[in-house]
Amino acid sequence: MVGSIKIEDQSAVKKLHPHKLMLWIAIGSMTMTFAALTSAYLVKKAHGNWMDFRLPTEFLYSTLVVLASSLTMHLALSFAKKKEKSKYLSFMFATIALGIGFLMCQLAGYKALVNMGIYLSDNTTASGSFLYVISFAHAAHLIGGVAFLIIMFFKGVFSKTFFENTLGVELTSIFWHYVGVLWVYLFIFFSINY
Amino acid sequence: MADTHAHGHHHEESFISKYIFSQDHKMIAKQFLITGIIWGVIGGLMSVLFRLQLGWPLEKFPILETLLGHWAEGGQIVPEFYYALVTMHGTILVFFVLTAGLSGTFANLLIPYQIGARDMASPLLNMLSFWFFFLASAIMFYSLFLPHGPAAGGWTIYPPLSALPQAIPGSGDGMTFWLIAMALFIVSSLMGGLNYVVTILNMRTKGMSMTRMPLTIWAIFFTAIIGVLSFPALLAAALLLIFDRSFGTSFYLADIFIGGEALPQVGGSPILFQHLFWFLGHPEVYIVILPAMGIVSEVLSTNARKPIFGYMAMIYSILGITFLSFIVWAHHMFMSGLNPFIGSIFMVLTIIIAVPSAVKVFNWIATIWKGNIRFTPAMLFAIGFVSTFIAGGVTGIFLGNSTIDIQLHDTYFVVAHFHIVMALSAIFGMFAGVYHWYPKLFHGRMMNSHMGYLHFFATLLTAYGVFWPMHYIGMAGVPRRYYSFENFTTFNQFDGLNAFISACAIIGFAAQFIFIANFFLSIFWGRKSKTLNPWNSNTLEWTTPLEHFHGNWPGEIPEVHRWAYDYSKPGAENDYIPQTTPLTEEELKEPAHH
Repeated sequence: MVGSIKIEDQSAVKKLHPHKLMLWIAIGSMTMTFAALTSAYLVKKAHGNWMDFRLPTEFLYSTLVVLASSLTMHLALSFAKKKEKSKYLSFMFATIALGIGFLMCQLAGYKALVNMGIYLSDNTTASGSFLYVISFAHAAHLIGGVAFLIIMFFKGVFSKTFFENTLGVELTSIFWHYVGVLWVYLFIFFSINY
Repeated sequence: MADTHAHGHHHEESFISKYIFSQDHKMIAKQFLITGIIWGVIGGLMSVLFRLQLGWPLEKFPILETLLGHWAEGGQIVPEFYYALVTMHGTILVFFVLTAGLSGTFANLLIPYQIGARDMASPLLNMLSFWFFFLASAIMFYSLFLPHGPAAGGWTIYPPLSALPQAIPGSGDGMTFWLIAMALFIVSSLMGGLNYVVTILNMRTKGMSMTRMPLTIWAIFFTAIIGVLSFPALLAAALLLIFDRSFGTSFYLADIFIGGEALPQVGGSPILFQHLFWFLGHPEVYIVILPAMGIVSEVLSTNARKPIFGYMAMIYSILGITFLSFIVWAHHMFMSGLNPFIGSIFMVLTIIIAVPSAVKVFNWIATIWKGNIRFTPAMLFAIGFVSTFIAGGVTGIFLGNSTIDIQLHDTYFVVAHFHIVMALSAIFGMFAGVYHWYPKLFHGRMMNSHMGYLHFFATLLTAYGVFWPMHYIGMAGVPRRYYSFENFTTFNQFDGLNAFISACAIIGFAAQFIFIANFFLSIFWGRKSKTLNPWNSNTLEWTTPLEHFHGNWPGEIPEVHRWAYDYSKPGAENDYIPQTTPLTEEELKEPAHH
């Protein structure tokens, strides 16, 4: 029957759940996207016609917020495993709030950039444009993560069997930590290279 | 037995869930194959059209005006359309036929079958992979009918032609549609690749250790890894390109004049795009060729009735090729002003690829050496693959040399090289696979062998007829991508050769209809195989029933006891021993095969 084959039934050589393995490989693929973008940044910088500027402090705040969200996500997962619903929901809510807070900090960072005269649409140098586009790409991933967080939050609220299988939360947690680490990498990269 | 959960029960499926939005890997394989064949005809027809222009540049063909309207005013293809044809031919053949058509078909068909799984790790993702490909196909197809034509700046979509909508007719809507279609295509490829890797690593049946897997699976495994790691670079390149096109950035644009007027963009570098593009573009060559290598290994061994020679060396070679494929991209950029020292590093790395490639060629030849060869159409195409891979690979050594590339780059020598080593070889591997696994695709029906032989010899002769002479005109300096050479008197001496190439291209294209007729007619009227295993092959797919159902095996999944290449084993009753046959006492005392 279409869609009815259980993955668990098929596996004779089970080491890591197929969905987790799939996520890890997808993370490898996403990492390559950002590796390509940051490599392009370095290549373009080496070509010249480059403008150096100081990264606005708002991006430091967003880094701290995303790190804090990783901590709350970790706690949410551990409470999900312990089947402590109210604590799980509280920390998931906190993670969602911090995720949205991160995006707000990023917006504040863009506003600061504009005030410094650094725009996305700049045809004289690509240095500012790189910061915008790479951080947009990261934000797109993070928004996807927030969507999953919201789904997992509401599943925790409404599903009666939710805490029997925490795979969904585990996958969301892995992805959320990844987007957090990715931003830390990007923040360090931009801080060093500007 | 490997699977304690029997899945033999049949479930009622609607027409929609069985044939359209199917999650069954076998149906998805057929969907990829048939879509790939349709694209193959479209892409091939495009090559016939531009070869008409190159072969007979002063001739008028009134039928072209009837068919193409203003794109062939007066019966002659206009330059803008010529460039669109060349661009779309490359795009379609590289991505839609030889990536999706080849990998999509055989990865889907063979992975669950040959490793002993009910289906892919995520059947839903697998279905989505096809439908994203289909959507990409629909958009790319629609772009052919845009008022200003499809993308026309070359399949490599180098800026500025791709970054400035006003550059040439194809740079506007055509390029936008190209980007949308390719974004969907990349999503499809990534979904497929993730599924392939996870399924191979996680879903193998009991006894199917990695070193018992058929080489088809190894090849698909590495292909998928290359895909998931290299397509993101194209995605990154496309992202920056979209911002350049639509949001006023200047990542790739600098010092451009259109109609004598300088554009304001000064901050970018078109070379940056080349780096990003070729970081995918070169591995893409191996995305195309590795599955064909896997298919050929399987077909050669089965039809030579001999074990594959150097099984582990084959795996290490694929691994070596995979690794090297990521660090040679700049050999496409020797003439872009690349630092000569950097160029020499890329040259050395490029030439090193000859080593694992030669190991594979040696092993294929050693496999069929003194074999009890059955010249089935699949076997002929597999042998043809070895021929084209050698013929095209040897010229790679010329082109990989940065000094020789000064003369040869962007000439027909390059066109000859990559068409023979990548396009022809991959197509030959694909044909070998279709002829060989046709009974698995279509419920035990076989393709007609006589039509298969005719198809093979017509294809082999016309393919060499097209690409062999291109080496000569390339060495003489004839550049690729030119609409006409009428104003270059020095190249007029090649008019006859160009007409010969075009004649071969037309005959070769026509010959493909033998295959197409054979393929579609055999679905209904092909001879039915009398056994489950018509080629007396060892691999697991031949233990499944002729009738397809979702889950592959009616009972438990068979357990595997040996590698896939026990052919003509001394002392054995038959000249093949399926992987499901337990090892004998004597075999248990023997050292491992590989």
